[in-house]
Amino acid sequence: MCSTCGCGSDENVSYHQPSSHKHIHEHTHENGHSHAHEHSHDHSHEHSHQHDHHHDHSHDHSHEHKHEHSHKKTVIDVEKDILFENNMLAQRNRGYFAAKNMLAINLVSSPGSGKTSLLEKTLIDLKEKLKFYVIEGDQQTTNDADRIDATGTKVLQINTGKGCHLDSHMILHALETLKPENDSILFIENVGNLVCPAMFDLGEKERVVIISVTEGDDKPLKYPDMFHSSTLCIINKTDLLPYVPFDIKKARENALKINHHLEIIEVSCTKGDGLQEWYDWLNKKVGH
Amino acid sequence: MHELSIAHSLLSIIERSVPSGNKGTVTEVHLDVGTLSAIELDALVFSFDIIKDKTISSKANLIINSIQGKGKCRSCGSVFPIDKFGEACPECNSFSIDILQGKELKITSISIED
Repeated sequence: MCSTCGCGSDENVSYHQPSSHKHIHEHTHENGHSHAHEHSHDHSHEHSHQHDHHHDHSHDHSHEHKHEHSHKKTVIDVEKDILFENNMLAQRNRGYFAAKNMLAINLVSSPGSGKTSLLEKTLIDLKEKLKFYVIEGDQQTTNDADRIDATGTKVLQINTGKGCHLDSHMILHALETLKPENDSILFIENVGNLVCPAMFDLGEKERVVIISVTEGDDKPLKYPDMFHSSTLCIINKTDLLPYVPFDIKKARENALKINHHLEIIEVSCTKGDGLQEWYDWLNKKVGH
Repeated sequence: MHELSIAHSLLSIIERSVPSGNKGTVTEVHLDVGTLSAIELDALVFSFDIIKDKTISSKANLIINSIQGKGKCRSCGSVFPIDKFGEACPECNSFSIDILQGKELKITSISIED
């Protein structure tokens, strides 16, 4: 059982830190989180429906009706968001980030859109000006964390095992090991998946969805939940536009159809086009 | 398949909602699920049925109250039902739509029988 939140995790999740070559900790419990603070908002009202009617009449004969049901049915009002546990821990993370004046960014995309490459490039270009930390999420391997580690940035790899997304609980534990300094930026590279991570708030301030021009320009329409919950969309690999049938105008329109608040930046991570706009966006978000 | 994670959350909420000492069987679990909640209902029921064995919810059925999505157009102000993101306003064809309702994912009550 973890000392911080009192959890017995239900996932086979492991944490690795490349630079220290150590295996942090692993949870392999049966199921069910049991958090120390879990019951503070439990409003359970019990309605007991037992039909005992007693009628008294004023005239001289009196009789009693007694209906007894063999099955007593109790209805308990729960009125709770099914994701409340994740949301509660996400709020806890959010408070942690706010207190430390950190900017937490959740990077989401399908596999192969260039999340890690964009991250590597960003870390190398901006590491003199900004302090970065990275949490990498993948089902298996520490390949991505090794790539980030090579840039000199402190990184922690979460392997979700069979899990298809990171959740706020994993981030809470990753932060215990990462111990980020104040006034820094935390990139959380989620598991490559445009579906499941959409539902799980990690406590981030910004959610950046990345698509590449080798995918379809209708991606926002196919995976609307992710685009609806994101704040910035990066369209990557624009240097390949001459070779693929990707209509960038249509992609922009589709993304804005789903989320009219969405900001959009076009970049070519390998050629460097548009990267300055992305860096300006980052600087604006940290208030520089 | 995030529905499996959701089903796990569901089980743990049910377990903590049953008063200690109650030896009854959970028979019904009532949910409010919005049409824009990113949940595939069949997958949720399937996942729940797989993992409920040998728990307090082993005889429980999910009873789902589907909540129709509702949007409000920022351009013309009209309010209308929506089934998915990316639908245009039926009045003015604008895509500047704020979601008023339909993202619910809530367990409302459970029934326990002796």
